[in-house]
Amino acid sequence: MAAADSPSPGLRRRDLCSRGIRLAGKMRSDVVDLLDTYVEWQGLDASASVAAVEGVPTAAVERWDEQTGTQRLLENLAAYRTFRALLAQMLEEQQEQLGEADTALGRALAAVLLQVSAFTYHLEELLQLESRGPPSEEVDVPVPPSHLGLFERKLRGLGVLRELAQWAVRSARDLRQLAKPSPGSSSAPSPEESP
Amino acid sequence: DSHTQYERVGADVTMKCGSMDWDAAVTWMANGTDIDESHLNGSYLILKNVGLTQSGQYSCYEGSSWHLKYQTNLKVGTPPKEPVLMCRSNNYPKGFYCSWHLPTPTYIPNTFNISVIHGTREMVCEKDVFPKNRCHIRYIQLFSTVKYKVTLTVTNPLGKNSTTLTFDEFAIVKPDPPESVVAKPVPNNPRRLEVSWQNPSSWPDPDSFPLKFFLRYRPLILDQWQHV
Repeated sequence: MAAADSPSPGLRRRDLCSRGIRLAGKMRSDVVDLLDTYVEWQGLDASASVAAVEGVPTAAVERWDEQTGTQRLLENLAAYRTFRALLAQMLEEQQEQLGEADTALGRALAAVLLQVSAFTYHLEELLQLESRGPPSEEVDVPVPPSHLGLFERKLRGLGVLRELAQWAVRSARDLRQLAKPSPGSSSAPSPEESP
Repeated sequence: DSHTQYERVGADVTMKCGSMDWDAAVTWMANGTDIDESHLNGSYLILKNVGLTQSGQYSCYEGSSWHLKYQTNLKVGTPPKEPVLMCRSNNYPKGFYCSWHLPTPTYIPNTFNISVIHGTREMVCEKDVFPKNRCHIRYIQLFSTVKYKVTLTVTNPLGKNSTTLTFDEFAIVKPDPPESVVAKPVPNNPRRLEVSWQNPSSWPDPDSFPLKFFLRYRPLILDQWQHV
């Protein structure tokens, strides 16, 4: 389906993967910094245990090495679309809470939101190459129930950012798997490279 | 009939000659050597403040007939101190291993029991044949934010002790050193060296999980290192 004078899908894919890997790396680094800022601003204990938060995509996965390229992309895409909505929610709550338009936390949140959006777009591009095209944008983001107190919302935010940090690590690894030359079609599982 | 008896270092031990009365005439021997009567209280053998060197075979013979009335293997030792436990993943993302040891010897046999819990899931730690104080866990989940909790319990006939480690999946990742590190002189350039190395063979997937290397060097005549 590629036009005669555009780069081959293989090359384009490798190019998107390496840029995506760099994006994921920067995102991870910024989310880790954001976590520090968040914890400080919200007066939380950095080592606080947060139970699994409803509606937050967990990065934890079984049989990760057996996933197909398409599976990886679809799971990543679903996750980052959700994070985009969750971060937008957090940003809104933040602005409501503090009233000021411009805070260090607000800026950091907005910056990460931007990167998450960019990464989402990147994933959509990669899915186009898989000849699948991205699924339609139906993201189910549960609105935090209104009875959630301020403290619970803060803990929820902590959970969101922690999972996002894990996802950024996973995404870089997913893209590296994707970038490996694989025999046969692009949706075949990458060969396991274990001695 | 013979049996084994474990006692703590520094304890006072009283041994009875089987079913013999207190006032029976008996002879005690330790590892084939007669024991002096000063250690006897009637037919009981009293060992005060036992030390490690007093471990051994103790036998009691009836005075005139020299029938063996009682025999015991005394093992002097200590209850275990808190064990030292460490866990590490040198083959991420395949799994990790935990290894342990006691800070001081107990001088008697110890059994170790390890439990690995990830959230609600109890994981199996497969014991190595060698070394014996190590076991392996396979990762079931990757990229999890749920911490791992590893508890090691050591038990011996004189007591028990335990220690627990709690950690994140990433926190214990530590690859083995690079392999085949070779420094070769560069032809026609005495001030240069060509250094080559390999990924550690235990690292299963360097493409998806690339390793970063740092190199430092110095001529022998200098003390300061230079970094590449």
